[in-house]
Amino acid sequence: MEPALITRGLGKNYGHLAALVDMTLTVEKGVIFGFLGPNGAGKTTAIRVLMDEIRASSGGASILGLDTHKDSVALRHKIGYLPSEFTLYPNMTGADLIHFFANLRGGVDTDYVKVLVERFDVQMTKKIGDLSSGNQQKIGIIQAFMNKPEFLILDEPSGGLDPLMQRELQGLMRETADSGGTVFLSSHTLSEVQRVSDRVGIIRQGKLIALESIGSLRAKGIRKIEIELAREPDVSVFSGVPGIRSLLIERNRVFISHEGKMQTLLAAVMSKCELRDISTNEADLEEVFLTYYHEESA
Amino acid sequence: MTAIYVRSVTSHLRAVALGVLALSILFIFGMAIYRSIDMSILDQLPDNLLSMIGIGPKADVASLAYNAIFSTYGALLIGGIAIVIGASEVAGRERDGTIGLLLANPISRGRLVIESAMALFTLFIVAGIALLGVGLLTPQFLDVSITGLSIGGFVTQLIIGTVFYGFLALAVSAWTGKSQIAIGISSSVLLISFLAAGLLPLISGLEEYARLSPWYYINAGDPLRNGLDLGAIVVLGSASVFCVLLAWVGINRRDLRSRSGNIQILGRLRWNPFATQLMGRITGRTMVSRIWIKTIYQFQVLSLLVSIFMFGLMGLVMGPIYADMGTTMAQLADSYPPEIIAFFGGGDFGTAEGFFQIEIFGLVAPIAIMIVTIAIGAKAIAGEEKDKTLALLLANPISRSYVLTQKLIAMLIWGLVVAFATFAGVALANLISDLGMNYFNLLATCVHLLLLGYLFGGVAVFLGAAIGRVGLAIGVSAGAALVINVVNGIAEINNGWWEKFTPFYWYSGTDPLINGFNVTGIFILSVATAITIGSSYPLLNRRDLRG
Repeated sequence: MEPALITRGLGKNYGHLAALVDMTLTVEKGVIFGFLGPNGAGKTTAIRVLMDEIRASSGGASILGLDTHKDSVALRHKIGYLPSEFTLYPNMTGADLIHFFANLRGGVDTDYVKVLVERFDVQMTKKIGDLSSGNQQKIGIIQAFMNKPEFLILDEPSGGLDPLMQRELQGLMRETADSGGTVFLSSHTLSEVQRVSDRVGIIRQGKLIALESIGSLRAKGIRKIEIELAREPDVSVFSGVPGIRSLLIERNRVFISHEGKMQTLLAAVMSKCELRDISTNEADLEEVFLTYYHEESA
Repeated sequence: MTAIYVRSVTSHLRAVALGVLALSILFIFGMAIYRSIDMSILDQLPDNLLSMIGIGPKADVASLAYNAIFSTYGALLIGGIAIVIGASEVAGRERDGTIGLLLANPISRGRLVIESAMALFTLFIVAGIALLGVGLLTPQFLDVSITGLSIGGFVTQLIIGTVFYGFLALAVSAWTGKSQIAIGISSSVLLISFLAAGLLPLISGLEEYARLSPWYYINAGDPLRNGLDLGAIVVLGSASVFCVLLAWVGINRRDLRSRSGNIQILGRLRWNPFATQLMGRITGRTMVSRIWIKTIYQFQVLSLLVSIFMFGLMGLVMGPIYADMGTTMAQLADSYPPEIIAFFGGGDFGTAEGFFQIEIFGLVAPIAIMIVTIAIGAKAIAGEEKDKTLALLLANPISRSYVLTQKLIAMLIWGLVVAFATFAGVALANLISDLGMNYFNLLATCVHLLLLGYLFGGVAVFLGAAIGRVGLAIGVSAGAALVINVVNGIAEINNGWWEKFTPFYWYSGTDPLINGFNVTGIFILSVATAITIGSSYPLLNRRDLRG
């Protein structure tokens, strides 16, 4: 089966600044692809190249077999797109805007639009300028999904949405993928990508540094662990324990950045100290990147 | 003074500097040309005529240059820039959604207004100093005598007079939070007061009413010869302070807007329950059926205001004014040397055609139509980029060229409406006051006007499409129009060989109000417009869009 997205050595330079470097990537149909990276990593640049808003300095890309530059108009019949920073026409109502875009696009099923409006619980008769940013985001999401696109590009789509609506959006993405569509989800939030994606590409400073299945990303188990002990431990307790990337001891509290299975770590601690409390947190994106850099340089 | 003041000064400095630069070039060029003209022709003219046309009695090369370039074009240009800055200071920040963050700091709304006003004032003091420098140095280089002329007083009064319009815009912007309304109202006051100051002194019984026009005080007491007129400064200063106070009160008494849109007359009606059903049909589904229709709605306020202005004030009012002044005009007209007639756009005050050529088609009508075509043209693509709406728009299966073409249709339609409103207004004036002008020739003049509007609108389209910056597209196309108009005016008196290379020659140089259509003119203006607009497509398609 032909992949949904292929990029070959895609690059974008602004003068001497390389915003996107040699990105080669294949995304199969029917998956949610998480495109993960911190702010300014090049995610939006890559997406704007795919949408033909800006032109690649090198390489090329195709979506659903169509060249993103040469066939861009034909391609947009099949695409749904939500940019990261967008403004909706403030003088229109939500209904006006959806109608406007439906007119430009053609072939939009109004019954399906009604379903989306109900799912996202958005007021369509109010002027967009008077809506909250979360409600504006919902209208942006509805316009992206309303033509039941074969390929969805969502750039930081959860911004401004409450947890309930984030879940609704994630459900919608999953339904799209399950019915054979493909979702290209750009995000800087690891948990969001982990929760919904099938595969993940990690980008940093314009370079795609890793392509992983979500399973192997999870298996890396990068997390922050805070342990409270009965008394201050000796540093030797932690020496030789695999997976510790950083360690900080403050009296009886220990802060660890850890990668891998926690079993060995816990065994080592409990054999020598009295454990009072333990809490784990998702790792910062930066720590995940350090892990991949570590692997790259190793 | 704090960061707001500094930010306001620095963000508007470029616009002011470009305005001063354009004006300086015109001044130097103008003085050089006037130097080569035989000025004795001006001695033949009666003093009241010279005063009326802004030159003043005992005209010489220097005073002609100062008065024609600084007092007329300069004051309109500086006043226009002051209005745009004044309107953007409060309402512009609301439109851009930055006012919330700004006022999250421990700064009162009143202080925001005061610092904005101080910034506006500082910018124009700097502009005044620059113009004074140019005004003093140019005669030195060109060896023109300025003995007995008070350049300092003249420039000071000019700056104080024009900056008043900026404070007026600031007040309207603070009261309404709508920059478009602030620009619309203040520019209307600017244009009306400009005309009132010129025309009212000529109508017997109404002479004294000219003092109600702020523009009157820019030249009150003839500052070029007699130095600064303190009375005028007191009037203008008080009016400016009053405007700032008004702005202070205005911003403190209302809710601030966040990322507000433009006002929509039809949209407003739609919220009225009585009109909801009907207007819903008209504005709702129709408005969003095509990009060009949406663009028509987007520019309805500006375009309708300009059209009503051209129809009502320019057309209907000018007829009776001319009918009233007919005898005086005819007497003055006998003493016109042809060079002077040429200088004022080929018009002859003694005839209705000449009067309308000078008062409407010479300067006001081109400005009016260009306000509309340049605004729509510049914002065609660049406006969507600036507002961050283009990415979503182009997520639909439409090409960049398609969007541009749709926007052009709106520009062509609104330009046509303004030209038609001008035609209808003057035609009605002609009918009511029985002025005896030929309707076919009037139609020809309005067609020429329309094409001129399209050409400069096309320049704005080209720049907006090529570089994606609204401000630059408006500034450069409006600046180009101004410079080319002055060059054309100078060429006419000097019989310069270059006059046929300016679009203004092909607009009015063949006197369409007297001679009807000029096929060559229409052909040249149309082809130039087609080339300008046509070449914007490849440039738009080639570049990266701003996100």
